[in-house]
Amino acid sequence: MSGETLAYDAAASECIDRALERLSAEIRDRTPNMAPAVSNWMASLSHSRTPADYFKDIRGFPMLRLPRWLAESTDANEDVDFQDGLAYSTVSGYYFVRLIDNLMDNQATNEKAILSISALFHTEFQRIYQEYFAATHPFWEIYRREWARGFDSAAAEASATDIDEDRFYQLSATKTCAGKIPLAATAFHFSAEDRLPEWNNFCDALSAWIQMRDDMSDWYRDHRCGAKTFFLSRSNANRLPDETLLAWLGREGASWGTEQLQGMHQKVRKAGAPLNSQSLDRYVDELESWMVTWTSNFGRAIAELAKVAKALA
Amino acid sequence: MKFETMIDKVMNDPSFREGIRTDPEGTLKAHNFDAHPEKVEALKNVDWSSLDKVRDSFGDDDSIC
Repeated sequence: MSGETLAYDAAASECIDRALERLSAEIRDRTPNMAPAVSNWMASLSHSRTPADYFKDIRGFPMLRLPRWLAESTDANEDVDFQDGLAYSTVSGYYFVRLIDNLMDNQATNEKAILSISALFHTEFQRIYQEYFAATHPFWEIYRREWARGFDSAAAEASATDIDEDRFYQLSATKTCAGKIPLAATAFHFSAEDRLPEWNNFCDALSAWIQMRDDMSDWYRDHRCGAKTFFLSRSNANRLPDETLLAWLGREGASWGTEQLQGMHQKVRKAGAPLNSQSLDRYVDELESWMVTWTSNFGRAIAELAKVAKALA
Repeated sequence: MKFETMIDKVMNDPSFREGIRTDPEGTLKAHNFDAHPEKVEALKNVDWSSLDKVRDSFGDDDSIC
């Protein structure tokens, strides 16, 4: 991964750094025997081997930034302790999900050997919320619903045979639904729960854009490992007799994917418009710039690869 | 050559990739490909920098979701 990071403001960047330092310390203190292997796994997820860079990558769902943007959009004063706790919880939750996903997707390296650390990740993910919300608080219903939906969708995706547009939107929206948990916590904490539906709409639109970009970006790997994606399902439906995947990409796939991505970005912008967050608006702008450059590079690369394929045929 | 094998070689085999980039004729012959002048010329006209820019996508990289 090339590790392209968005321009983070200093406060957000430092918050992420503190969260990861805290989690690393917790792992060292609580599980000293596993700590070296777990730290190595966490580092391996980042191209730079710096875990914080992983969470700042432009291609990732901005799970650590969305709650900050929601908080900023309210009139409430900044609550650094809450933001720090939330970031710590979120990175813990993310590592929990990633550990299991990698095992389910057969992409594991040393995940099986460190699987039991998932107990610590889950505890730290949930524990922070217990500091802020009593057991009967409505937050916990959202927590239970979104947490379960995330795992259920992973299983649904694994068993999918063909992904049409409706299925794509259903799956992409649920893939990042765990990210709605810190968002809900923020909304309740800052008494902005009435605004949660529109923030969740933005999450769904953004999830679709990210999934489409992943579908395009990972087309070759997905094809090799037999993964079912919206992009490859379209290819299967539209390829001419004897047409290779690469030829389809050159003929219509790259431009079709680009159109889809652009359309989904427009939905992201539209969903973000009522959220009253300048930071979020800047993020949407940055995504668009990135998308314009990337899709252009993608189309050119497909054309060049087709030349190579023709020469080697 | 199978489609998958070809892409694998081009994107993930550094020596093959460098070979067809710098010495297409010699590399095609060394790997038992048809080294017809037309094919050699086609390889000389490939914009490798375009491929490099998105090589992560076509290689063995992972992704965030």
